[in-house]
Amino acid sequence: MDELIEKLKIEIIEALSLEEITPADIDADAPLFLDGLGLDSIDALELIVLIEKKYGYKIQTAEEGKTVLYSVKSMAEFITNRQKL
Amino acid sequence: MRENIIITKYCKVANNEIIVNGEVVFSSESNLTFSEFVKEAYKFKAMAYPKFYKMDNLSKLGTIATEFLSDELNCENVNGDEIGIILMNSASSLDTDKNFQNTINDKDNYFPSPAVFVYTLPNIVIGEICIKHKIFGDTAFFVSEKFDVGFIYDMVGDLILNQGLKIVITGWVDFIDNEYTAILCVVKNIENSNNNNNEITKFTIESLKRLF
Amino acid sequence: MKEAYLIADNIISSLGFNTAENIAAIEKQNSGILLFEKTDLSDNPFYASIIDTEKLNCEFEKITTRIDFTRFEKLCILSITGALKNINIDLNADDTLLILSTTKGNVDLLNENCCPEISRERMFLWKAAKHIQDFLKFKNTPLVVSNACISGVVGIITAARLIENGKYKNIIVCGADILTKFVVSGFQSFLALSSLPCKPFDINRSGLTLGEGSGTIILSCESNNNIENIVYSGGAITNDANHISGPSRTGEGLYIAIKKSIAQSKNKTNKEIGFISVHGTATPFNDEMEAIAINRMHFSEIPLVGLKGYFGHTLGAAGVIESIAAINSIRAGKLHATIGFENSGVTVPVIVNSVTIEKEISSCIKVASGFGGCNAAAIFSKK
Repeated sequence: MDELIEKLKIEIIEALSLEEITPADIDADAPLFLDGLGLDSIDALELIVLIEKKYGYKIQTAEEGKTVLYSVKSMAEFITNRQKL
Repeated sequence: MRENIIITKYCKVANNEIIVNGEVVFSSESNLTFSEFVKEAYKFKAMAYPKFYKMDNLSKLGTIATEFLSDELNCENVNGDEIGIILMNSASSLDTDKNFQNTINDKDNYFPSPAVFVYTLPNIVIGEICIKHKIFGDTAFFVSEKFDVGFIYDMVGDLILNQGLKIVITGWVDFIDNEYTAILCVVKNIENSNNNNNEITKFTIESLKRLF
Repeated sequence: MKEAYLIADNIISSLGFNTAENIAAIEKQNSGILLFEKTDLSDNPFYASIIDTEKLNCEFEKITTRIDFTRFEKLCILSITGALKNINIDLNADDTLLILSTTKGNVDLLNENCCPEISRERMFLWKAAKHIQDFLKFKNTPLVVSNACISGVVGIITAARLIENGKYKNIIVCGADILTKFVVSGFQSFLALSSLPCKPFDINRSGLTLGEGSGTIILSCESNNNIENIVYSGGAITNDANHISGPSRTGEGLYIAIKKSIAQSKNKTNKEIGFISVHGTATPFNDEMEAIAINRMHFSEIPLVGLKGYFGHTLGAAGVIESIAAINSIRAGKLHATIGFENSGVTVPVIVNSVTIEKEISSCIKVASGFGGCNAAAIFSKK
């Protein structure tokens, strides 16, 4: 899980062009969309594409997206749970 | 009155150089790509605007050019809805259109990107400039083979004389296949203005032809 | 300042190939939206308003046997030709201008499998416009507006201003966009498409339905004596300065656009404005934003009419097509129905008109909003 979280942080930084942010700046438990990283609705949509592209799991609705994209940890949990199925 | 309309500042971005009022104010090595060059210019301006990195090249081009004109936008007695932007180019958003098409071409690697799709409209660069500088007034994007001096003269003149605008940013912002040019100028109405205005030239067809 | 009269028009959509056919369908509350299984546009079945290609080609062959035109160009030429049918305008005159409003033009040419015989140069919007200009024999180089979903209204406002200032005598504004995989996949990536035909302003709205079409409206400094005179009586374009894709939560840009338009217009009050032709894409945020802007203007008592349930969202064509429908509404004294709407799903009070009704109307406001935070409002009034 920790490994996946670190990998996700790097992928998020790349996918969202967060040039001035390093993986260490991202708290895996903190809400992704409150302030800190300055992410917006397009970033959320882009993260949905990221999960599908890199891990093959589709988020179908905006509602589901909200839960999965709460934090890096919740993203990692979503992916891990799907991998177990 | 037409005589009260002046150009107070202009900026050209091309060939890895930024020229303001005819003087080179920033340049980088000519072998740098646009992305590398514009990143250096961003740092030179100490913009501290991380959203800049998310923009497509057309938006970066327009945003950086406007940054060098921004001191002309902060005027007393001018509200955000009294400032407008009229831009023009040849390639519309084709450069980013191609990038988006690449995300949907391959059936087995089909991942349309929302962050790319949103930039497949030429007027997004106007939206970015409006967000950065809190501009609420008349904005529009036109596409033309060359800079249409006559139309811009009529249109910008109308905005200032008849539509209640006091400042208009206008010009050319074009980017395709790593070829790029931006030439923007700030046009102002000095009627009823007590400010000391940095008049570069009157806003006339002849002066526009000289600049563009 | 001169007056800009709206002297002729044409709509081409899945509902018909001229204005009369389209308006008749609207008055009968017939939608042009159907479920399509077209894998060249989307892997999954989807609702859209799509023009039948055979019918389109059949109509186009009545104009020319030449085959070097794209679907987009055919839509433009058919619509412009249709609008010019019953009036006499010299296209070769110095004081006649064509304005072309489009978001994506010939974007299908980016797909190398599409129309291999067509020159890829016509991906450039001005080049496509030039091709149309040459065929129709306009003297002046067309002006191309590409300003997202407000392109059509921006075209009309620009034309009206040029006429008011005496720069041109006649301006033909054509708004057109076609449905492509490019556009469908883009809106899908935004999770913006509704799984059912769109429901503007409704509590159960869940996104937009795409469409394609073209609309042409002709503005002139001289009235057309064969029809009741309607003029452009004010308009403004604004920006939210808030976000490049999300509508402003406060409706700021649209509010300023309506306020500025009203300031220009002789018709100003709730009573004088017969209805507001909304943008009404049926995305949760767009319709809410419009409702808030209208509420801030204290226009909550003015009926709203949204037409996306008939044509889908035709992007750059939408503003022109919906303006033509609005003008017809004024002339015919009929308020159109917002199909798809049942119960209000916005947080401020609005009156959304849901059945075709007879009503004396002297003026209306057309509004539009789009990506890039852009908004536009235009007022049309009986002379």
